[in-house]
Amino acid sequence: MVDPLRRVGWFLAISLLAACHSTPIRGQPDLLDFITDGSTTRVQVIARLGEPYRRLQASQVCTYRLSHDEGGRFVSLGQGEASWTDLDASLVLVFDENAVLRRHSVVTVREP
Amino acid sequence: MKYLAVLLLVLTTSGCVPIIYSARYEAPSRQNLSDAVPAFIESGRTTMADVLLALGDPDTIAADESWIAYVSSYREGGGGAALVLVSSSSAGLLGGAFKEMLYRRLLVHFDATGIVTAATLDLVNCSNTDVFVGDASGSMAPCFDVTSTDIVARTLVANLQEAGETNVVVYRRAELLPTHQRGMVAVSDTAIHFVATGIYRTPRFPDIDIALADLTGAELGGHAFHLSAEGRRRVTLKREDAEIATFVVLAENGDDASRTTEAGELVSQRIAAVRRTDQFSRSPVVTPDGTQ
Repeated sequence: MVDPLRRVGWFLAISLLAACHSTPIRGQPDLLDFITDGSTTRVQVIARLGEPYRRLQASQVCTYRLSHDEGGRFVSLGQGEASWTDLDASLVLVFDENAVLRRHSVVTVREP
Repeated sequence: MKYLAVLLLVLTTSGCVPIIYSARYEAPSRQNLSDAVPAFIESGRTTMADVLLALGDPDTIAADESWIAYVSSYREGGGGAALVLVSSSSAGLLGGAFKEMLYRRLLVHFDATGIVTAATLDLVNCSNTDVFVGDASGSMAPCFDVTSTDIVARTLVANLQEAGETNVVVYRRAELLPTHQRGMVAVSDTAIHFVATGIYRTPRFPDIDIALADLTGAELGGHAFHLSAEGRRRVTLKREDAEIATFVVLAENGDDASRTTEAGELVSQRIAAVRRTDQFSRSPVVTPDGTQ
């Protein structure tokens, strides 16, 4: 009979070693596929992508900064204002007065 | 004898190497600006949303959203030289290099409804300097402010002057403690203001406006400049025994202590002046015949 505590200990040790071994893939190829002009709401966007990097014009315009890895795109804060280090694109979403997406774009800001 | 041997070893294995910088964008820079204002931007027609949808998130935005700035930093070339110092136990560089830079800044102004009122694109050529000492390297203050704090400061001064404040001095890079919120400190004859900059999360950090007449003093605290945040010189604004706000001024050359001391002394002088004026206005007026 293996001690359950010892089993948990082994599991944790192996998990931690696995985490050290490689950088986890954060990107998703379909990250932005749910976004559709005319139907996606601001609440849905925030539920999927988190709090926007910036809200303008009383939240009618929201922006996210995007990075990518081999798995696809992911939302990143980067290293602060005026710095696009490790980032390559900007997601811009324009909502109407009912918080429904009117227009959006993914702008390539720097070469990946 | 031992030291002579080390010196000889250093001299015989040392050499001067050229440093050549190739042309490319700096690592933090955006790369989607051209040399002119994009043709789609038309005053009186284009909206803020149109600009963002085409160019992405801006690099700086005014607190009141009256303007946004896009900045790119392109290194056109440059170079220098460094002496390679090798000893039996370590190796390092001693030298410097310059970088010829081309900065582009697209500045777009909007009216209260978010329609473009003006757009300009500035091209600025200047040089930045890198210094190598030992196994460390560093850059001198860049020749162009990519965060556009110059525009933020100019707008701040104009707004304060419009509100009737005089002799406004702005410290463009400051930090409020203990939150470490970055911003600007503006000191006028009658008030001190902290305006947050570098905001990337909402809600926005609120501005702080304190009338100098409400303060009893500005106290310089902390030790002389030290790398740890805890040991930094700071200015604490006080009312009676209570702390109202504490800030540190950041210097381009790294000498934060001197800039903070300078700001603290200015605030103290201005508070003293306000108190003198206040006392004078409250003291009874004595007429030449002795009546009050």
